[in-house]
Amino acid sequence: MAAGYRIDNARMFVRQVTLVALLMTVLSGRIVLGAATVRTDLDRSTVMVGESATLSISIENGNPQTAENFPPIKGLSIQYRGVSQNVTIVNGVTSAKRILSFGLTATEPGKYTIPAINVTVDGVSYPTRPVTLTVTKSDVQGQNRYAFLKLSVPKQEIYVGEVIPVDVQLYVTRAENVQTPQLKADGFIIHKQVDQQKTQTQIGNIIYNVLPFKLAISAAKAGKLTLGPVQSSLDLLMRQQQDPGDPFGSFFGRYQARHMDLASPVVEMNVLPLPATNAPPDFSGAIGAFSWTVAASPNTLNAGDPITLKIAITGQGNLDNLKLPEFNWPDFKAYSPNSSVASDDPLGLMGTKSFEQVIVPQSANVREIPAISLSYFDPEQKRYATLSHPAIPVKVAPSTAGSAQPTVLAPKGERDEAKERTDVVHIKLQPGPMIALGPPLVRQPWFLALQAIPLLSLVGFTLWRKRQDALANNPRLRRKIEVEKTVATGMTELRRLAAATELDSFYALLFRLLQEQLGERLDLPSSAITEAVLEERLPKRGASPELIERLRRLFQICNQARYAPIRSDQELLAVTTELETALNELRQLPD
Amino acid sequence: MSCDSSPINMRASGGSSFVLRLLGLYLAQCLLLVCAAESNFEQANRLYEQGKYSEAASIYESIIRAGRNSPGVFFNLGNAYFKSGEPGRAIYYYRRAAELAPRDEDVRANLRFARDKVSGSASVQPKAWQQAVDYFTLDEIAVGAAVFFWLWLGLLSILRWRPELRRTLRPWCSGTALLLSVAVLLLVLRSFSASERTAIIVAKQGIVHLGPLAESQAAFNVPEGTELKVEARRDNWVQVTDRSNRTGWIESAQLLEAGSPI
Repeated sequence: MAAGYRIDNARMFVRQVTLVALLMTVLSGRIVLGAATVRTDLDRSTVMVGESATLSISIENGNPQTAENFPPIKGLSIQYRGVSQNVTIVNGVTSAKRILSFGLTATEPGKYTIPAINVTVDGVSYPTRPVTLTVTKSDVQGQNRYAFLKLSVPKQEIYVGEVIPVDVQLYVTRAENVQTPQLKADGFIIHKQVDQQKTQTQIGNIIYNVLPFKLAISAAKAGKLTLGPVQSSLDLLMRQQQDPGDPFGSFFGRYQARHMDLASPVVEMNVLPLPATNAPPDFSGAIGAFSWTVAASPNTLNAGDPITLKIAITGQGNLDNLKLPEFNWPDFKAYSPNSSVASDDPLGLMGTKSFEQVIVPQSANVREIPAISLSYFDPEQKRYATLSHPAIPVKVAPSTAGSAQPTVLAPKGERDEAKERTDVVHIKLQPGPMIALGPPLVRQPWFLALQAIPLLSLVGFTLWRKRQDALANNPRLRRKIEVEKTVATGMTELRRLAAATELDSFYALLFRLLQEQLGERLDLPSSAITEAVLEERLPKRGASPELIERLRRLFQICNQARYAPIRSDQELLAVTTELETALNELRQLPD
Repeated sequence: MSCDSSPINMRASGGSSFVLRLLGLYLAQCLLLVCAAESNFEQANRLYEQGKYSEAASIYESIIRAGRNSPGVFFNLGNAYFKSGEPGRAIYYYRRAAELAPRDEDVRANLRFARDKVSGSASVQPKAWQQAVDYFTLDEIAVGAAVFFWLWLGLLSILRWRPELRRTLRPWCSGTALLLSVAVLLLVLRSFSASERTAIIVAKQGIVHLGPLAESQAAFNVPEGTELKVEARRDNWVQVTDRSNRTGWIESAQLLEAGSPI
């Protein structure tokens, strides 16, 4: 029984908890639902005559009960299209949005202001926001009705350097190979181009796909300048006439591509120069409408410690070109500022540019950071304006040893070394080696010629090695070469000996030369050469009888040298000559 | 090197030739030129220390125009322009210093510092292999390749002369051949890197047009100090490409090309 009671109690407990949870969820939902918000939006701020824009009144977390009618506006028809609803539950929180849609269509060009109306939500009246719709003349008649380009500027009179947004819209029914529109902008600088989301619109009874582009441009010079045209090309798909004999023609549909080059009308711009009079001396080219905030920290520090000035300039204009004035304060050392831009729009024409400027007071006598100012030209007001900030008091104590280095915040992605450095490395005290600039070494003829030396050396050594190898494989040739050298050297020595009448040496050398040459020709050891060899071997080698006789005579002269040597130098030289003749003839004998 | 103004005594014995005298005169002239360059350099440094950066820059430029180029002169000229608020010319001269002394830490540091100050950073970035080969000058690589070339052919010549040393010398031959191949490859890459022309914007705001005419539509603009790749030239217009491959024409007066004279 006790267990059953406990189970029943548990079941009841679970039911109670569930109920409480559900109640909490609903209650929490109802609490959120009770905070209603009403918002008014226009899908496009500029349309052509006959083209529709959609005005949406969104009511969030409330149940709209009634809405006032819009007052009649001449030239503009406002049609109620209906209500849609979105419900979302996020983390248990329920929120519901109801959207009242109105179609706006103008029959005449102009600027139309749709006034605020009251919407009653859960018994409370909420006003909407007034909105402005700009209606331009229809360009359809001047161009192809299925594809055309539209170029819009907010104003046609601007100043040199003033950045304005330009709208380019490509209207097309159905096409392929669409080229991105190119804006002809001679005399202008295109700073940025942003593609926007494709939409659809209806003009008359034609539904167009609209490809919008936004550009930020500025004029580079004064005068009457022509902006545009915008040019593009595409292949327009036109529905073909149906073939009556084709049973499926109406079912599938057939399209024919037709290439078209499009060009928008131009816009004549009047570019004014910036006024030369009343330009503040510190004006550095900033154009727009700006405000700023200036802060410095720390305010109490030692001399040599850094102060960071944070300057945030907010407004509309060319934020990228905004620069801080130069801070030439003798009591401070200033470093290059870092900057970053946070844009509120895709073109970067509205937003905030933030600077961080590090300054270092050089002495304890510094009492304040001097006043700073920034001048700009306001094109709407057509005058120069100056932002000023008064001096900021600081308390600077005398420096202590090892004061901190200024901290310079570096943009994202820099290396650590660059983050630490706050100035360039100081100049060099010595110029270093002076170099005559000229073509590099690889183009200097002398350098290239120098590289031929090892090449020639290698070629020389290779040829020499081949010769050595040839000689090593041919002992007869080797002997022939050696004997030639021996004979050449020997003949010189023989003449000398003859002139000096050194008889013993003369005759010994004479005999040796005969032996060497005959031994080489007859392929016999030189020591085996005697006079007998002349008769035995020489005739077989083709030697002439005159040669044999001459050689015999020379041998006999050598033999007689022991007993009756020829003594006079003239005779010795004659013998030398005869030997030379004999040896030359011997060398002519075939191998 | 001392640069006192005492004249050089030239020994001219009776038998000294005309050639010796000419050589002496030439050496004296070189010495005088170097001394003059050094005294100008010191004068420019003094002006720099006094904060007279433009005057210092003029003197550094006169040293360079006289043909006395050195990494130190280019480096100091870069500093003078940087301090004068001309980061474009500063980057140009830091680059010229880096060409002569690619491993000088001060030059690399200041070039990096100046480049970091250029906003927008449309500058073309050298590829990783280019940064590697630019560590050496072209002449250094050429000398290295020549040394290995001589070594290799010398070893081959020795092998021809003494074939019995083949076993001992073969690994040396192979090693030297490998080093030579690397050096030749570096030489080719470095030559290719040196042949790529870049230009540095020295105007406050460089306007790049679609065509080489003043009336051409402005395509984009680049801040001072941006480094662009040079594609072509026509009259006084230069076709350039930035980091995002945007191409256009800019007047040559708005830029300095790496390697162009002052």
